[in-house]
Amino acid sequence: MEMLAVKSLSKIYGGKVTYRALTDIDFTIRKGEFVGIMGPSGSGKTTLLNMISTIDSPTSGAVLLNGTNPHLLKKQKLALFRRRELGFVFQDFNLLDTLTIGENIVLPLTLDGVDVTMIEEKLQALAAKLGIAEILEKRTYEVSGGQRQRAAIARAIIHTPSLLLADEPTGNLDSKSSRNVMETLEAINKSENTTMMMVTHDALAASYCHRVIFIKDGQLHNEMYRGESRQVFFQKIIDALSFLGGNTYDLSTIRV
Amino acid sequence: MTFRQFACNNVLRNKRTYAAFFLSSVFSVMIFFVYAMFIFHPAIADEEIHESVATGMMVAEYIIFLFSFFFLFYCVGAFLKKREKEFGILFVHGMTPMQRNWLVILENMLIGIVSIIFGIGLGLVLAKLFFQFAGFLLDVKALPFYLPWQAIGLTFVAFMVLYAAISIFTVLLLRKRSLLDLLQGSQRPKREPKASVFLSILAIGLLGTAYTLALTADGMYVAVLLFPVTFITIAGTYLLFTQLSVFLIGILKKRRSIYWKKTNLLTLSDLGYRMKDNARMFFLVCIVSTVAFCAIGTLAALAGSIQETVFKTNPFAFEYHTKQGNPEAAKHLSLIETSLQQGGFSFEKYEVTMKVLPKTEKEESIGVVKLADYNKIAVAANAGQLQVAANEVFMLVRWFGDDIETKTLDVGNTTLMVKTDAKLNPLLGGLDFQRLAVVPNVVYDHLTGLKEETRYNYAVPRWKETQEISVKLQESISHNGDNYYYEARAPIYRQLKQMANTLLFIGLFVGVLFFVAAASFLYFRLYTDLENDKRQYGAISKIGLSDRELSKIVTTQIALLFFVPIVVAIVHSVVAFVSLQSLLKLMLITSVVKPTAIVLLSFVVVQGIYFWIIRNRYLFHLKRSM
Repeated sequence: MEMLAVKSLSKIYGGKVTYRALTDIDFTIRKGEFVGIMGPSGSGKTTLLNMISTIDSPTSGAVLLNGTNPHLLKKQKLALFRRRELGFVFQDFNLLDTLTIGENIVLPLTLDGVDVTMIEEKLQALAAKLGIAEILEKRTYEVSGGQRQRAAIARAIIHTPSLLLADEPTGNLDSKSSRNVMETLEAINKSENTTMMMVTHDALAASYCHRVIFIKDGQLHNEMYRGESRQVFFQKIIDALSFLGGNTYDLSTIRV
Repeated sequence: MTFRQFACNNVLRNKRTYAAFFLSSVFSVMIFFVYAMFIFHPAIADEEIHESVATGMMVAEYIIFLFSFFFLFYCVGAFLKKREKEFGILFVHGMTPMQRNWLVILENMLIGIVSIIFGIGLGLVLAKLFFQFAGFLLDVKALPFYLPWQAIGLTFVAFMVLYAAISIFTVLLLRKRSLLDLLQGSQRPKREPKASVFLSILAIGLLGTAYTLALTADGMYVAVLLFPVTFITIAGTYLLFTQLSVFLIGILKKRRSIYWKKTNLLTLSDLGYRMKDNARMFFLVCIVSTVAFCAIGTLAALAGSIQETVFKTNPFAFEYHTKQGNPEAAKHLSLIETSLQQGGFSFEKYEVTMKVLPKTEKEESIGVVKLADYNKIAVAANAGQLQVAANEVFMLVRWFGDDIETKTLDVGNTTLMVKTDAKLNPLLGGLDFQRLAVVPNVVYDHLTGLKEETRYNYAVPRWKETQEISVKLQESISHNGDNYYYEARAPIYRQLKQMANTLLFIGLFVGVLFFVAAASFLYFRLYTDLENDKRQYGAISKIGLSDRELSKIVTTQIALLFFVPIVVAIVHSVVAFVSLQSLLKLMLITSVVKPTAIVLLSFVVVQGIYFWIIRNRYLFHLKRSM
């Protein structure tokens, strides 16, 4: 079943010099699928993600999530749409410093005015699953980067959204934490059947996806499906990236 | 966590950011409340203290209220600007615009209610002290403490309305920015502000014009020019900080021998970069401080010169002026003398007789006094003696700054040359004549057949204690009869002093309030910068920046932040005082220099202490994070 459909999406940035960031992007994501978006720097990955996450609006084309185009919604409805249908994980975590880890996680439910006992139940269950139950009372600056990102993931899925969007979720983490975060995402994808879309530079992170879509110069380049072995998929991604012609600086992470 | 708890957490866990804002809110509430306690005090209703005191305080209440509104409104706006990214994150997680507005209102009301409670509480605790201080200043017994329900009510309602209005206005004026802009927030590098040459020159031009006008204006013109000069100065100051300062930094940066010398590179580049943020704050702090300096300085000058003033208006402790043939004169005089004797006051009596000349064609009636008599009075009043040649007459001015146009005066059958001195304070006046002339002894002795008036002056060394006697005499003699005129110095002195001290009392606290507000602007600015500075200096220290160099850069920057607006404010105030001096002279106030110097100096000292504390805290935070 189609969860997300992106139809001939284009984005042109105005200003003194107009700049075409995305041209005619078309793809779909099925329910429960875990899709990675890759491409060299400046290829338009983050722009694409921002269009889908409603952070930015497209110049033309449509984004349909469960048949709804969020860009056509009124402000109030759009807020409710974000609150109930979408979850976000950012590269720099974007946790609020004034709140504890636990309070950060329950934020979407608080905004939705859910009953406090219900919030508490959900929080405890989720925190146990992600292994962050001990740090719920801590403040954001008291925990490690990996823990922060898992808290951010918890915040993104506590309201069981239709689509989880992640922008370079491993970009600020060391290799062990990255692996940990990716395993967490994979586990959630399996157990909750959450649909996920992730933008990344990191071939290792991308190898956890079911499918990777490559973008170059704002256009779809090709896509690849993962077979049985993650190892093989990883190698294929590396090859594809060097074929894309970005220089190694763009592709490499600490591990490659 | 409910939504309300979320709002509370936002405030309570951000104590350091809100500290200065909160303190200045508490302070405004407290000052407002203390004045309200005076206004509603039963003793004022019982007329123990002059009603004008209450009126003055009422005016102060309006000023405080208005100022608090603008100050808090600015602060709330600045806080929200700092939190753009936070709102971006919240919007991404599905906060509706309504919820954001509600959040802002909840947070503001929380701070508002807490500061109202603290302000009133602190006011109650310090009430006794304030009453004592006021009693001392107003020269009355300290007001007793009372439970000021009305004052509490007024303060509470007024500030609740104020905070509600601020919340609503803030929400209405929140800029609608795209989510992308909000999320990128302060991450995006700011553009370096550019200065226009034209506007920089205009800044110099405006300030130059304002200063020239202020310094060259004389006497009454100062009052006329007050408004336009103030306006030009404000405009010039704004351009000075937003344009000229940026322009000057730009010039310094072009001089590589200066710019690339040691830590100048960091200091100057940072300064230019932040000037845009700082310019508006510099401007506000500067104007607010100038107003505070001028107000307190003028009031201090006013209060400090009451005694001088009263010696000029009333050269003698008691004056009784009577026409010839006043049947009550003897009775009144003995009344004054016996009262003084019974009160145990030693006194000296000076008697002087004047003659009224027939009306001249100019319809101005003139009285004459014998030179010898006048000089006797002048000696007694510690004023200068006059010299008059045989063919001269000395015309006394009616009031300070009065002009005399007549060139000659006919007295009896001699024509005398008129001479005068507009700066000489008139010691004597008359009832049936408007102007008094001092004539040579011979001329006076030859005058016959004219109406006479006699002035009895009593010099009392302990005149300050004659308040009660004076009031009693006033009842039996009354100020003005048909044939006489009576005046005592003590009640006038007391009234003037009470008025001046009320003004000082009001002005002092309003001035201090302004100062506290200016200080919290600075505090807020620094805490906004702290996070950026931590990152920046963290990076630079890795390249190799010694502790001492770091201290030097930070000290320079904070010192500029603290003292540039104050120095400009002091220059403004000095110019204002020099210009006001000629106006104040008309109000018989002469000693402006000393009280204003004391005021300015104490401000600089307090600011210096504040600077030292803040600088040390700031360095401590910076170094700890490295």
